[in-house]
Parts: sequence; structure tokens; C-alpha cells
Amino acid sequence: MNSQNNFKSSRFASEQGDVNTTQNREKYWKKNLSETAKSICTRDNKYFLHQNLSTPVMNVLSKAHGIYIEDMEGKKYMDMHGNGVHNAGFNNPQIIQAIKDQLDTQMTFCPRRYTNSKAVDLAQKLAEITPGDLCKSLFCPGGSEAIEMAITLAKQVTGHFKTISFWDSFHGAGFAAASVGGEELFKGGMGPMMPGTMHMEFPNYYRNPWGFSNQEEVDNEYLRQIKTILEREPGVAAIIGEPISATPVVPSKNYWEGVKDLCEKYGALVIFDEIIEGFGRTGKMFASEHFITPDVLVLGKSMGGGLLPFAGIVTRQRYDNLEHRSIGHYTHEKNALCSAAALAEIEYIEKNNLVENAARVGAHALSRLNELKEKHPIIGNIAGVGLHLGIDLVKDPITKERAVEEADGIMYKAMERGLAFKTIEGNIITLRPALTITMEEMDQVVDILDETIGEVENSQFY
Amino acid sequence: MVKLHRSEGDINLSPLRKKWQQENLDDATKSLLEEDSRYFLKQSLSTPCLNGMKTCEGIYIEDLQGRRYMDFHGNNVHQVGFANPEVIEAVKNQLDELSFCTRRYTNQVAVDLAKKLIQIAPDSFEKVLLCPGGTGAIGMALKLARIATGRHKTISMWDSFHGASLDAISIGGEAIFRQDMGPMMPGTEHAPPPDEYRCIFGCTDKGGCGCDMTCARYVEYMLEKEGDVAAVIAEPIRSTPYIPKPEYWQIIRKACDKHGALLIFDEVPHCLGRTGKMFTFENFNVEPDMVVIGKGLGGGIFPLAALVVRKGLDLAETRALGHYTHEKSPVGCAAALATINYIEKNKLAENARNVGNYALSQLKKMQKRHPLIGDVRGLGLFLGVELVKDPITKERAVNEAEAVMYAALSRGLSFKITMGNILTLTPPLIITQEQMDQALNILEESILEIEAEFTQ
Repeated sequence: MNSQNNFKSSRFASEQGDVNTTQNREKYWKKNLSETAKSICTRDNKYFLHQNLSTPVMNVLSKAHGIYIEDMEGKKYMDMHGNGVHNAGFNNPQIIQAIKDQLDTQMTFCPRRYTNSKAVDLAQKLAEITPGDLCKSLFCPGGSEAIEMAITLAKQVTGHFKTISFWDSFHGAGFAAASVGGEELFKGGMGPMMPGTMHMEFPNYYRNPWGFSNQEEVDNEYLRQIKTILEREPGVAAIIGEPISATPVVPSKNYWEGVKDLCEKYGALVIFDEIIEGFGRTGKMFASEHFITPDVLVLGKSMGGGLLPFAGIVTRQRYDNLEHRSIGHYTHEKNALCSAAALAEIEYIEKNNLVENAARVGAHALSRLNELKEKHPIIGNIAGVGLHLGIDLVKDPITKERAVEEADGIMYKAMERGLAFKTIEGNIITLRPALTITMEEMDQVVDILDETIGEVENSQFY
Repeated sequence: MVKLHRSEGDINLSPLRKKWQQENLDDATKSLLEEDSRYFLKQSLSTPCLNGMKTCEGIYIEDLQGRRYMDFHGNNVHQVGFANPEVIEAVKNQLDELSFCTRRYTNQVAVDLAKKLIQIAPDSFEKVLLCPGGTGAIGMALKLARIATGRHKTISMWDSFHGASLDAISIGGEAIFRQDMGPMMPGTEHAPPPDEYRCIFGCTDKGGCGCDMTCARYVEYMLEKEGDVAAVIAEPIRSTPYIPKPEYWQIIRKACDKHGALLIFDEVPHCLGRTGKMFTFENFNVEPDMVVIGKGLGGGIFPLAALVVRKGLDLAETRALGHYTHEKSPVGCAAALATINYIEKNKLAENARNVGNYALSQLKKMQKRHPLIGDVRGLGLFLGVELVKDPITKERAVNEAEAVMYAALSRGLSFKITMGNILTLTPPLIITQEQMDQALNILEESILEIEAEFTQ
């Protein structure tokens, strides 16, 4: 509890996002919240269980549209976070229309014994647009459950139960998802988690324990570790990872090819969690396309069109042999409303070339951020691909000590200037705007960052 | 051939199902089902599906060929009826306002829902946490129990269902989810559930006064022997459906208090009026420390569930208890508020009690006319008819039950089978007594038909 206001020890508390109990947060409330917002926040605090990263909340929303969220006073923020649901923009009119139309057909719920044409259309669409020979879907309301379906499938088809996943990764809040996840926030004080979940480091070319800067050397070291685990711990059902880490580190194609070879050799499946990275975020329809086709692809977040909870897995034909088991027993499995939203979302992404836009605006942002890096010594590293970007802030470019307090200050300063983003691991600013963002809007984002970083560098803290 | 488990529902690979499909489905439906099987992973209880649906409205679902069925199953999302116009209106209005809320922020309608839930719950309840599904909400309850007690063990019931994730199947008691899954969550102990008709402790066969609460005392015994159980988690009424005596829960409540364990009730399938009360536990004069609700909470449209806890349990502010993207979904909350308002305005809990009592008395009369019916039981509109080959041995009439189900389906009545031989009847709470009579007539005709078929 006494670590709440102590930035030095808050690396683990803040690995998933900015913490909601800091002094800066309190200052922000005092400076920015109207009486109306305060009164709703008070009631929010009264009726909801408090937890990290939600209640007590930052502010109250009245609207969310396009790349913006809007508070009770009508102040707009370009949202570079959006909990990952906003690939087609918030409150996308065409998706809303598709949902309303679906409500009017009265095909609003489908008991699990039945199917409906919207759900089948979506499954067919996913078979068409997902990489390689992925062709069999299963849906559920949330990404956390979808991760569990993927693990269940891997356990059932391999006959194994162990998993290898990555430290610092997030795959969901359920016990199994939190067990394969690599964050203290979800495990500390929780007692025993799912048995057989082993973890290792995600490749990191900027921060690795050997001080290597050569990609190949880094990859080889990590692959050697995976091989060691697979040899010494027979019975691994799957390796589960996000193709690109959340911070983000973009691994080499060689790395994932090496992982896949090892998995094939030792009888494990490769599960890619693209809950955040799927549907265009990285400048490809699926992040897998940068690397390899996984055995199971996990989708979520934006799949619900930015407003409905929806997720699922897509896998190969050969794993469709579990008809005697329940791998995803979820009430809303073939929800026609959610399927309509997902179809509208995909159609919007395709029609408006949002994948290309993500690649183009992302490349532009990356080059501008690299310019900022030359200008601001506090920027240790810039990483990412498409509209999945990260700025690693450091106190010292040599020691790479994380600039946690600075990152928090920049976040609140940017917020007051109409730019919202989330920090990960305390010191990494992550930028994941709606894929509808224009070049000009992205320039505004970078300009605000330039200003606020400059101020904090000059000791004008929040 | 692998063993097919019948605990959770009717199976989707039986010859009877194939026969029903051949006789009833046209080419367009068959082709949709083929496509469905082509693109979806097969699993028990869903794909391959029984039929294709076109719409659902009120107490009815309608297939692609325009046949309407009274849905006495509905995956239990349909308290206010399918496609309820007031819920749809609320959802559409909310879509015009704020359709999503990032987790760092709150919004008016989410706060309104939380407040409403606290208002309808007994006074001891104080706080709410929302997420998209019942499984997730069960996980949140288990996490909070661990944090609140500093312990991790649980006692739950064999045959129970709490969801499909690893934690939920670990406390659940069904082989269909647990078999071949490797190690379950550590510390999840199980007790035999209460069941007077098929008591595993044999109390009812000993003569004398019958049930002597051995099963409740067994839970107390486990609490004592383990010493550090975090929570007893159970469905207050079983889905078979067996309705425990109030003493059962009163004994366990006391035992939990004595041994420092929390009591968590999973009311996902029967919350919000189905049993004649807003919360099922209100039938037992017992209050749990936490209650999990879901399914119909989203108005039969939106995936939504909630954990509601008593005072003194808001203890996890530094932890991620329920880190779900759609935590305070304005659209989901609007649907839930409209649902609760509809239930209150139309006195659906009262209707469930009245129509349920009526149906139970009619079913008891039916039992006297049909030796195939071994037992009828239920509470409110959560009813069960247990079919047996022989009233003395109580041998489960599995084939007969499935045949009755398809016979009823052909007459426009849909329900689910549990444990292979129990017909479960859970209609929308808006059902009228006349509609209930219609359904019971269909049921009796179907039973007659199958009795004749099987005695030949």
C-alpha cells in the first residue's frame, strides 16, 4: 500500500497501465474535474468495487466518436489507447447502423443449439481473411475467454497441459489467462494459479540481459532458452504470445520462425494473441502476416465493432476433432448482434483501406518520433509498426533507467492538451490510435508529445 | 467411440437428432447447417447445430422455415422475453449517445445500473463489478475471496456448472469440461450436492424422517478438515433443478462463518425473478457474501454479468480483480437497466411465482397419470420433470427423455434435457397461464406418444 505514491517501486504495479492512485492523478482531478463530473465519480466510487486501472476512474465520458473521447464538459481527447476496441473509430456510424438493423430483424439472441446466418457469414469471412489455412472459428464474449478456448484446444489436441508464455504479457483476467500472462498485478497475493505455466522473456532488442545490440544474437539466445525448456519439460501444449509485445517490441521474422520450428519438433502449438493487434492495427490485417501463421489465432476487442464484447479463435481444419468436448461453452457463442457488428467493422476496414492507412500514418509517425529522439535525450528508444507505437523514456541513455515519474507527468500534461494515451511498465508511452486517424491528426499528436516531453525535460513537472 | 457426457444438456450427435433433422429441415436450412459446420469448430452442445434461427420474439424462437417454438430453454437469457421492445429501445437510444467507455473513465448509465443493483439487493450488499460474462464474474468472485481471506481453497459441488474457463471448470463438477484437461486449479475441493430424489448418502432410503441434512454437515466437515477454505461457492438451486431446503443453506452459512470462509452464490441462470424473487437466495432466508448474476442481466441481447458483494469486501483497490475491456459498457448497462425496470414494472417475479406454482401443481397431477415421470420439482419458473424407466429403481429414462424432447419440438415446444433424463422447463417470465397450459399439453401429448412407442 505504501508503494502507491512511490514511483521507484511502482514498475510492477504499473506494468499494465498508468496507476489510478498517484499524486498526479489527484492533482489532475483537482485541476480538471467539474462539479458534475466529480459528483458522478463520487457515486462511481460508492457503487463499484475499486480496483487498479479502473475505479477510481480518471474522469467521466459523455461521448466517444472517431479518434476522440469527450468528457462531461465537451472537452475532446485524441484517444491513443481506447482499450484497443477502436480500430474503426469510436461510435462508427456504419457499425451502429448495422447493429440497429440487426436489432430490427429481432434476431437478437441465438440459443446455442441453433445457428444463424450472420454468425456463419462472419465465420466464413474470418476463414477468408485470416492468414494461411486458418479456417475454423469459435466465438465467445471476451478475449480472456478466447485465450482459454485456445489453451483448452491445445491441451485437448496435444494431450499435454503445460504452456510457455512471456513475462510482462497480458492475455486476459481469468485465472488461466492471468496464469499465462506475465504481470505481477494479476498474480501477486492471489495464491496458486494454473499449474504448468512456464514463462520466459519476450525478445527485447533495446533491453536485454546480455547487452546485445545485434538482433540475431538476441534471437538465438531466446530460442536457445525455449529449446531448453521444451527439452527439460516434456509435455508442453502450446507457446502463447502476442506476435508483437505490447510495449511494443517487434521481433524478427527469424525469431517466430525459430519458435514455430521448435514447436513442431516438440509437439506444441503456437497460439498468437492478436486481441489488440488484429484487424489492421500493425499495417497488416493480422500481425501474424509479418511473421508466421500460428496454429490458433485469438481475436477480440475491435472484433465487436468498438462497442460490443466479442472475441474468438480461428484455427486449422485438422484441430476440429473435439466434438465430444466443450471447449467454449459460452451463452453468447453465436450472438447475431455481435456478428453483425464484427462484419460491419471488417467491411469498414476493407472499404476505407484502414490497413494501408495504419501502415502509412504509422510509418510517418515512426519517422517523426525518431526525429524527436534526436532532439530529446529522455527518449531512449522508439519502436513499433503500423499504429502500434511505443516511446521508451529513460533517465540516462546508457543505464536506460526507466523515467517513470517523467512519463507520468507527460501523460497528465498531454491529457490537459487533449491527448490521451497509456503508459506501460511505468515509462513507456504507447500510441494506438483509431486506424481512421489522418496524417495531420498524427502530426498534432507528435507535436503535443514534443512540447510536453520538452517541458518535463526542463524540469517543469506536472 | 468416445463416451458422450449428458450432464449439461442434450447431446448433438445422436441418431434421434439426425432423424428429426431429416424429417423437419428443408434444403435451405440444411445448407446453412452445413456451412455452419464448415466454418465453426465442432463441440458438444453447439456445433453441429440442431436448426437455423431466423428471429426470436417474446416467448418464441422462429426457425428459417417459419416454425415458431415456445422456448423453455433460451440459455436462460430471456427473463423479459426475446427481443423485448423496451430493451431494444434503450439499446438504440444509448447507441445514439455513448456506445463505449474506456476503462479509465466512467459514465452515467453504468453508475445508474450499479446503484440500481445495490437498491434491489438486500441492505447488506454494497458494491458491484461488471464484466461481459458469467464465467468472468465467477473468476472475479474467486479472486476477491482469495484477497479477502488470504486463502485459496474452495468447496463447490459435483454436477455444478459455473462457466467454461479453467477456474470455472475447476470448481464446476462435470466431466464434459474437466476430462483430459490436465491439472485443475489447486485447492478446489468438491462436495456431493443436495438431492433428495437421488441422495448419494442414502438418507431417503433409510426410512424414518428422510433427509437428515447429511450433505450440509458434510460441507461443514470439509471446512473443518481443510481448515483454511476461502469460500464455499455454489448454485443456491441446482440446475437439475433441485431446490434445497432452507435449512441446508442455513447450516452451511453458519459453518462458513465458523470457519472463516465466504459464501458465494452463483445465480447466473436464475437471477432477476426466475425463482419468484429478484435474487434466488431470498427464497432461503440466507444471505451470501457475494452473488454472481448474468445471462438475462443483459436483457437477452447484450453479454453482461455482475458480481455484487456485501459491505466490507471492497478490498482490492491495488489489484486487477476484473480487468475486462467492456467493464462499464454504456450499452450493456442501458440494456440491463431497461431489463430490471421491465421486470419490476410488469411484476415478472410475481408472475414467475404464480405461473410456476400453477405449472408445478399441474405437473404433479401429470406425474400421477404417467409412470414415466419419476419426479417433478422446481421453484418459480425453474422446473424439472425427471423421467425414469422404473419408479422404484429410478433408472434414468435417457432414450425416452430425448424422444420426448424431439416429439415436443415437432409440436412447437423447445426445452433442454439435463443429466440425460431430466426435462428442464425455464420459459421467459412473461409467460401467461394460458401459454403455460399450451406448453404442458404439448408435453403431456409428447410423453403419451413416447410411452406408447416404448411399451410396444
